[in-house]
Amino acid sequence: MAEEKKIVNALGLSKPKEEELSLKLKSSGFILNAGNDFEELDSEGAKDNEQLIIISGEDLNLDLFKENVKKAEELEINVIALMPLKDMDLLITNFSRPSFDFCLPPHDVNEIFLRLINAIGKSSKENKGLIKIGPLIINQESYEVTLEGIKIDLTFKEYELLKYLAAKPGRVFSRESLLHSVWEYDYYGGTRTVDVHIRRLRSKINDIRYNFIETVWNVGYRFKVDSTKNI
Amino acid sequence: MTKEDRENQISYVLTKATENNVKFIRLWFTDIFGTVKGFGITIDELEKVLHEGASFDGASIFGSERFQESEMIAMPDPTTFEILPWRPEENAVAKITCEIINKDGTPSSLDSRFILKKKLNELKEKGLNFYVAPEIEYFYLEDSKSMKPIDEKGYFDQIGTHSDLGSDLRRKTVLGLEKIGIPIQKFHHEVSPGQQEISLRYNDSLTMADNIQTFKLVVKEIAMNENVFATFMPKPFQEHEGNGMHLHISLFEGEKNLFAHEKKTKSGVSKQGEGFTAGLLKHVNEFMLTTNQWVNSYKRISALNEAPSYRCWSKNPDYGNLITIPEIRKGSNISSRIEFRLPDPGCNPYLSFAAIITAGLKGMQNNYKLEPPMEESFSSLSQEGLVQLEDEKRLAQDLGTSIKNAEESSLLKDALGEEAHSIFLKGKKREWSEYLKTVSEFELKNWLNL
Repeated sequence: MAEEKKIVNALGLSKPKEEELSLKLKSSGFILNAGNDFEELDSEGAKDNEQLIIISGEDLNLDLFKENVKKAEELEINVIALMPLKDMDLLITNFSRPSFDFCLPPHDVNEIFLRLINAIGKSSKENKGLIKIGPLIINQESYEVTLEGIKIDLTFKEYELLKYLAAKPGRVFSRESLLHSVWEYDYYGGTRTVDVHIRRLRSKINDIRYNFIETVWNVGYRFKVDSTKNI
Repeated sequence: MTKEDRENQISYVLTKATENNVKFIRLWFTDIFGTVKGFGITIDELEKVLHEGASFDGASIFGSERFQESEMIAMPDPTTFEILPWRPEENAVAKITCEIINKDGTPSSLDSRFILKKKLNELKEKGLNFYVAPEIEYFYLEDSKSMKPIDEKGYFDQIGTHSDLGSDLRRKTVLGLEKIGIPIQKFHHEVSPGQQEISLRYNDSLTMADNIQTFKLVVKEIAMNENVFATFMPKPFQEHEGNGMHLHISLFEGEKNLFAHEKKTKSGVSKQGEGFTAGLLKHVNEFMLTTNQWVNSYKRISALNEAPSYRCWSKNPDYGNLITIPEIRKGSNISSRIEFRLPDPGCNPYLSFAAIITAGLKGMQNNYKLEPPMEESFSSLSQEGLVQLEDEKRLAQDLGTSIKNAEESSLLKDALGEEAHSIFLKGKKREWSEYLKTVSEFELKNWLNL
């Protein structure tokens, strides 16, 4: 996974605050992706860290601020709000979600950063049920597998096999060990069964661009770390 | 299976069922004569039934030998849950294969699936896995009354002279099967008009038996949607070839194919492979009541055309031989196998596989010697050779003979278990005695003038 540059989305920042925050984030390996509203966010960037957004009300444009927060709530994105004023009533009446966090003026950049790190930690814990490898997402809560957002129908065993391989990309598993881990002991197939399922799984998730599951001759199978084909 | 595994599977089934708007679930099982039976439940019942099973009149597994009701429990195997592809997407219909258990929780000794599982447990103790890949033949007819095939095509024909309905149906069927998790290896038009062949990709024998049962229903239902009738009857036409279900068989120990030879052998398979083959050749008359169970099955075998007639083997797929040992391409030892050409698709695959395993293993463990292959084609045999062949190698030519051989066979009792053996034989005897009383068209044609 491309870990080195994580994007942080922000809405409604004043120019000076944007520059200040951008600098702070950059020193910690983040890139700031800023805009006035959701439409303005670069859609590529928005995808990268879509669980979290900073929404600023520092310029006192209350309507835009409220609208952005409302939209974030609809999209179920966690919000760090830079409150426009020290008005606790505004906080209590408008924002109720538990994933909501805020900074009061003067919006100290270090404070924003600490709250951000805290929120990222929390949301990655919440996403524990998700295995994400490039365009392939396995949701262990809903058993849903998507490739570039398109749902893929798998049988239970195919799902289990994929989950098992994808949880440890790069590691080679022998057929024997896959059989033991994925199939219960009262199953009557042998290691050839693993081949049958790998074949079917591949036909569902591999295509012209991706090759997720690799055969390691005389050993077994592994989930490739970089699944993109060189074409 | 641990409790946790089962819970996990159940929760997967429930999630998928809800996600796909499944409204009805068919609970399937196979009666002792190989017919798929079942009953339906709605989605509201699914969770309870997955945990506790569903009560029903279990006597239905006796097939035609059902006399009195006895309450049994159908216990779904969550790994066999599939959504039926030919049914609507709204209020979708799914199927799930069940084991039959007695009220006290013990497995029913008449449950076909259990009979095969018992055999597979024996194999498992020896560290062996049995794999099967069937080639299944059937006819598409215009309807069930007229006996008119839907086309006049022949072997491997791609374009029909009359209609292309057959290949269209075949394509729909293959897509449906793939969707339901049954991988297809190849498919083509067979020798006779309206006749098709679909080969399923190999799998472990329990999964394969489940798949064959599902396969037959998928073929029939998809045909029915197009107002076509599909039949797996072993020999529906006197003038055309019958429907066979050749089985490609292999035995593995871990990742090693036991049939693959390390040193080159004459037969093309290992010593174990030769023993297994010899076991089938020696005992086939005792167990062919399972692989060829109907009066009509023996019309296919007696026809002396493409179906096997003699207990011989060869390396070429020559007509008449019981077993072919195909030449394996250099370097692909892993696919070493034998092709058992006797079964027809009217068989109960669970019982047939159990019998084949029992006979093959007996040959393998007792080091049966494999006789030399039949190298001549049957049509070029001398009169003497043919007489000798008829005397020594002829397969049972009618159900009555086959029943007699099966009744005395301790091997078949071992394969099926005493109780199933006895019920199965009882049903077959009834069929035979009813058939013997039938006055046929053949008789009317020849002797009405007497």
